[in-house]
Amino acid sequence: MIRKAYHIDVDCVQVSKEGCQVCGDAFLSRKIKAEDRTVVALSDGLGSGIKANVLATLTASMAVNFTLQKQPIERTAKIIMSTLPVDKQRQISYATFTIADIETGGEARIIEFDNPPWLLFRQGKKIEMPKTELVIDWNDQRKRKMLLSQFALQLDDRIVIPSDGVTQSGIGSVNMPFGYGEEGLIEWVEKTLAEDPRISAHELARLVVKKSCTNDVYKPKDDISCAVLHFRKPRRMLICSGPPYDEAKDKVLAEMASSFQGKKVICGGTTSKVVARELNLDIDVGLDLDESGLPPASRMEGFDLVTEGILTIGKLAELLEKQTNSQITGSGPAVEILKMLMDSDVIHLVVGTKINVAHQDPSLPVELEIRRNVMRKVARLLEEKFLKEVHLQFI
Amino acid sequence: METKTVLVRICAGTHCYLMGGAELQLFSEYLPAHLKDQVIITGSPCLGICDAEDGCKPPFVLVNDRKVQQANIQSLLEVVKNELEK
Repeated sequence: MIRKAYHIDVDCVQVSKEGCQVCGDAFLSRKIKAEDRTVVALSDGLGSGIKANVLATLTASMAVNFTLQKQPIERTAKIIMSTLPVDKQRQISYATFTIADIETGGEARIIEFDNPPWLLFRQGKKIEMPKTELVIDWNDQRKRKMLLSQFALQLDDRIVIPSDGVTQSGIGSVNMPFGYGEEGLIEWVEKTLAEDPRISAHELARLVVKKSCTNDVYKPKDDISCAVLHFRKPRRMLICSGPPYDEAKDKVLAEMASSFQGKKVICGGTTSKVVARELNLDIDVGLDLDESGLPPASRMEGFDLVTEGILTIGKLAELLEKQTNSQITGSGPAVEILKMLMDSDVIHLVVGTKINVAHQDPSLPVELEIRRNVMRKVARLLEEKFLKEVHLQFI
Repeated sequence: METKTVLVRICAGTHCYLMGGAELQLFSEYLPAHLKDQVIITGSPCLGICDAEDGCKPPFVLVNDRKVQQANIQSLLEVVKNELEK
C-alpha cells in the first residue's frame, strides 16, 4: 500500500454584506477518500442576500458534483449557466465560480470564471501560474472566458481563493480609492505568512476576511469570502482509551503509545495506569476543577494529555456533534482534546475493550455508555463531519 | 519537633467522581487555616478499591494509608484531624 504523503487542509471564512443575514457567496468542499481527491468550489451569486445565496449554492454544488463526475469543464459551465434563472433586472443568468480539483499526490486543476484570480503561495511568496483561456459560447451568444490551470503542488503550498468582496473591499475610501486590490491582498498574505509560516487554512482565511472587513470600516459593502487550501504533511494524533481485553496486550498498547509520532492522548484512569506501569512512568493527577464539570486532567511524561475515560469521551462526542465551525470555545479536558483533534489530520483511535466492573454499579447516578460505542460515534463524526482520516482499532 | 503531615489522596476515577468525589476536589477550601500546612492533598488515578468485594462504597479517599469510604467533606475532615492527633 502506498502511504498517503500529503494532506489538504481546507477552510473558508465568510462575512455577509452589511444588513444581509445570509452570505451571497457559497463555498463547498468534498473529499473523496477512495479517489484521494478534494474538490472545492467558491461561487459568488448575482446581487446579495437570499437570492444571491441560492444562485451561488446552486452553482457551487453543480460545480463540485460535475467535477467529481469528471465532466468536462465546458459542459459543466454550460449546464450551470442554462440552469441559473435569468435575473429580472439585469436580464442575465450569472454567477461566478472557482473550482479546484486536487489529488493528494499534488496534481491540481483550477478553473476560474470571473472571480478574482486565485493565488498560489509557495514558501511564503506569491507564485505566478500559467493560465490557459477557455472560451465558451453561452446560449445567449455572448462569449465568456474561463481560465484553466494545471500544475503540481509542492509541500506547504497554499492556494487562496478570494471573492470580489475581498479585492474590492475599501473601495471609494481615501486610503484605497480603487479598493484593496489583488496587490494589497498578496502583500498582506505574504506578511502574514512571514509572521506565522505554520498558519492553518482556517486562521489565514479568517485573517484575510477580517482585514477586508477592516478595509470596509466594519460595514462590509459586499459579501466577503476567502477560501484557503493548504497542502501539507499530515498531522497525526493518537487517542488511547480503555485497557486491553487481554492483559497480555497491555505491553502492546504501551508500546504503541510510546512509539507513536505525533500528539498523544490517553482517556481513562485505568488505561493511563496500565501505560504508566508498562513504561515505568509517573502519573501526576491534577485537582483543578473547571466549568466543564469533568474529572481533572493529569500529566504524564511524553503524553500531551491524560484524562478520565468514559465521561470525557462522552462529552467529547457531544462537543463534536454540536461543533459547527472551527472556532472552539470553552475549557476543560474534553475541549482540550477537541482542539487537538481539529488541529490534526490523521487520527488513530485505539480502544481497549475490557469491561470496567465498577461501572456496572446500579447506584451510579448516570448511565455510563459502553466505551466502544462512544468511540465509534467519535470516529464517525470525525470522519463524516470533519473530514478527518480516522483509524479505529479495538484491542 | 517536626510538624506532622498527612497525605490525602482523592480518587479521581470515574466511579468515585460520579458518586460524590467531584465535591471532594474542593477539600482544600474547607480545611481550617491552621491545618493547611499539615495536609498534602493530591489527586489519584483510580485507587482500585472500588471493585473489592468488602461492601465498601465510593467515593474513596486514602488518608495516609487509611481508607475512607463514602467520603464527604465532613467525614474527611474528621479523619484528617484524627490522623493528625495520633
